[in-house]
Parts: sequence; C-alpha cells; structure tokens
Amino acid sequence: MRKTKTRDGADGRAVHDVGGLDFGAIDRTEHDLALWEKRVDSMMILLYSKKGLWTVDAMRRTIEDYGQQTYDKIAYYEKWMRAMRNLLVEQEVVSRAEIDAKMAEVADRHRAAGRTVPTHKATWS
Amino acid sequence: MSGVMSGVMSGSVGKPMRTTRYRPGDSVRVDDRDVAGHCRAPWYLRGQIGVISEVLGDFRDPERLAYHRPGVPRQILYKVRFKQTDLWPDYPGPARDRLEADLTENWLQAPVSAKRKAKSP
Amino acid sequence: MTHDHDHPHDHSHGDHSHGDHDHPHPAQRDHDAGPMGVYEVMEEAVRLLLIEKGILTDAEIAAQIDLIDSRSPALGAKVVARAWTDAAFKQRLLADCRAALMEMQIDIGQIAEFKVVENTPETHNVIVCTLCSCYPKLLLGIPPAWYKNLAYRSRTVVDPRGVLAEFGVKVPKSQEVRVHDSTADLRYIVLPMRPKGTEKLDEPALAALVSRDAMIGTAIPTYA
Repeated sequence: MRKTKTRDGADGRAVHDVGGLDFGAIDRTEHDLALWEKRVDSMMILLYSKKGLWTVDAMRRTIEDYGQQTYDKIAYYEKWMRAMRNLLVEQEVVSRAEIDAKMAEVADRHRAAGRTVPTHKATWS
Repeated sequence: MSGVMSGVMSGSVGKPMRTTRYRPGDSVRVDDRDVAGHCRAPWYLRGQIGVISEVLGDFRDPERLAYHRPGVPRQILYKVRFKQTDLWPDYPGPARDRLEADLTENWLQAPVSAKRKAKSP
Repeated sequence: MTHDHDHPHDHSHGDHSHGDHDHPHPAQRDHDAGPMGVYEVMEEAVRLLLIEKGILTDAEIAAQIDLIDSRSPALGAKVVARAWTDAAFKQRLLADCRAALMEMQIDIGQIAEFKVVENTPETHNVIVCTLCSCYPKLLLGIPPAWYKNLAYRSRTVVDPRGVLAEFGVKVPKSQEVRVHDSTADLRYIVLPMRPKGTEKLDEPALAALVSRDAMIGTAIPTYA
C-alpha cells in the first residue's frame, strides 16, 4: 500500500487525491452544522448553479490548489468559504480590498457586541 | 445508449450521445500521463487495467470546466470495474472484490501492448 | 425515524429541520456564542457584499438552506422502503433514479445525476469519494463528517473490509465487496437488502429500519 506518499504533486498525486493512503482510524463523531456553515453551503450552490458564476469543477480546482498544509488543516466548510472568496475575486465579482474592508467591519461590530473575535490576517493564498 | 438516464447530465439534455470508443466488457487501461491542473482520474487508478461495466453518458469535460471554459469537447463517461487484487498487491480481502470508478474517455486507452505499470509503493 | 440502537453513534437526522431537534450534536467547530473564527467572519463579510451588490438575497440563501434541510436520511429511507415493497418501482429506481425519485416528488436538481446500486447476496456495495466528498445531498441531506474526512476517503478504496469492520459490518468472504469511488457526475446510493422477517411490515415500518449509513453501505439494516 502507498501509505507514505506525499501529495505535493511531484508524482502526479495532488493534495486532494488521497485514495489508498492511510490517515488512521475514522472519527465517527456526529456533527451538526453551524448556521454559518449552512450559509456557506447555500451560497456556494446558489453561486454556481443558479447564478452560473462558476462550476462545481472550478470550486474543486480552487480547493485543490490550497497546498497540503492548508488542505489538511482547515475544515470542510472553511475550504468551501475560502474557495468562494477566491473565485469571487477571480471572476471579478468582488475585489480583495472590498473583502478585507468588510471583514474588518464585521469583526469590529461583533467585538463591540461583546463577542470574542481574534485579530486575523486573512491569507490570500 | 446503455445506462443513459433522462434529464440533464451536466447539460447533455436532448443531445444524442456520440459514438463511444468502448463498450461494456472491453478492457481498458487508465492513462498514466502527467497531470497539469484539475483532474478527476485518481492517482491510484492511473496505469491500471479494468473492464468497462457501463456507458454512463456524455458530459462536459471537468478539466476544462474547472477553468471557466465551456467543457468541450464533451467526454463519454464510463463506469470502469477493477479487481482489487490488481490495484493493491497486498490487498487483504478475497479475489472477488471489485472497485468501480467513473472515468472519461480521454483517460482511457485500449490495453493492447500497454504494459501495466505498477507504481512503486 | 428511530435511532439505530446497534450503532450508538449513528443518530439519524431524519426528522430534524432547521437545526432544532431533540439530540443536538456538537456543532462542527464554531458555536455562535464562542470565539468567532476567521472563516465565519469571512462568510458574513462575503454574504453582506453579495447582498449589497444584488447578486444574492437573504431570502434566496434561506430558501436554499431550507431545501437542503428538507432532504434527509428519512427521505432516502422512504425510497428504500418503496423499492422493497414495489418491484416495478425498484426496477425504475435502478434504471433511472432521477425519474423514479420524481414519482415521489423528490427533485434532485441539475447539479448531478443519481444512481442506485443494489446489495444482493452476492454483492455488498459501499460508496466513497476519494477526490472530494460527492454525496447525494438532494436525497440524503448533508453528509456525516466522517464521510468528508481524509481517513474514510483514503482507506475505503484500499481496505474496504477493514473500514466496514470499523463500522461493525462484517461481509462474508463469499460476498463481493464492491467499492464505488464517485469520481465524476454521478452520486451513488446503496439499496440495502430487506431484512428477513419483515414481510408483514408496512412501508413506514420498513423505512424506520433504514439508516443513513445503510444507504452509504457502512451499515446493514436489521430486524429483531
């Protein structure tokens, strides 16, 4: 079995292409989605099916481009959210500057309302 | 048109499927070419030999759709059946076990004279 | 839909809607009250921008959430129970899933085609997506977390019997295990075998025996 292969694309195996590898025992804990995750699911599907801004294939390609560290670290709907942001910029629907400014505004508003919002620097890779 | 379902198959509605290169029962080898960009032929199947179990229809090409192109020429999609013991030299289950994956025609070749290339572990 | 007591982790989400239900599971990382993650901030920012620009509306987003919430393992279980009790329907379901589901007023949309694979005494089917997490959401709802995680996606193709054993499913060596890697435009659903001794049960009682995992292939319906 090919358990130790890295997924850096060097041998044609990209980061998402995990068939035959071994990541240990399956964690079968059930999870419900948070509301924001449901919104990500909903917006993504609307943007590629109803609005035709891209295809599901373009979403996959965007996620596959993350690099192994990010791909393995971030959760499922985090991958989708990052893809949505990147594709909106790629398709010139919104700009990076607009997203950065709006994220700062959202973070400030929630902080003012008493919620803990870590200071994050959005990574644009 | 065996196995073709009604409705929209990635935009195939109303379009007659073009002649397929392979038919159920044909042996095929999955191409092992270098991949540049988005690809739906998994690494573990490239270079492996299987048998067409079903012709699934005619779909826009995901490798082009992924870059906002129209996805033409369209690709015939096949269900390809592999013996697990062919895929994995130390497969722990019985020889009867199978794996099926859906692969587009541009990733399949006739296995004639194609030497099966087992990937090193 | 009742809970499957053989599998304490396998809580059905069947009757739940809008996140209100009797047995809440932990949310998948972020609680509304906890610290706000960067992607949660990003979601709100992008949503507000898309609404400002007139690309999406709040109502559209809510309607799409409602649509997915209306799809659940309970819905899939009804389809299985119908197939168990109506041989002609089963043939139509296997031949043309889209049309057969439409007979039950289940519209699977335009994103993908669905295909049902039937378990028999000769073959046990199990579904995986090694490249992402393709799943028949418009029938079964949101997939379980484990279906999307690397451990299940990677190992199911190379050691399906080992994976099935982790789920408590032991397939005899005389039965073929057939793994379906959903690598393209089709989403797969397993039609499990009807358990013995259920001849007198009606469709709702049969549907109650069918768990989400049975339709992925990682559980087998039983009847005591």
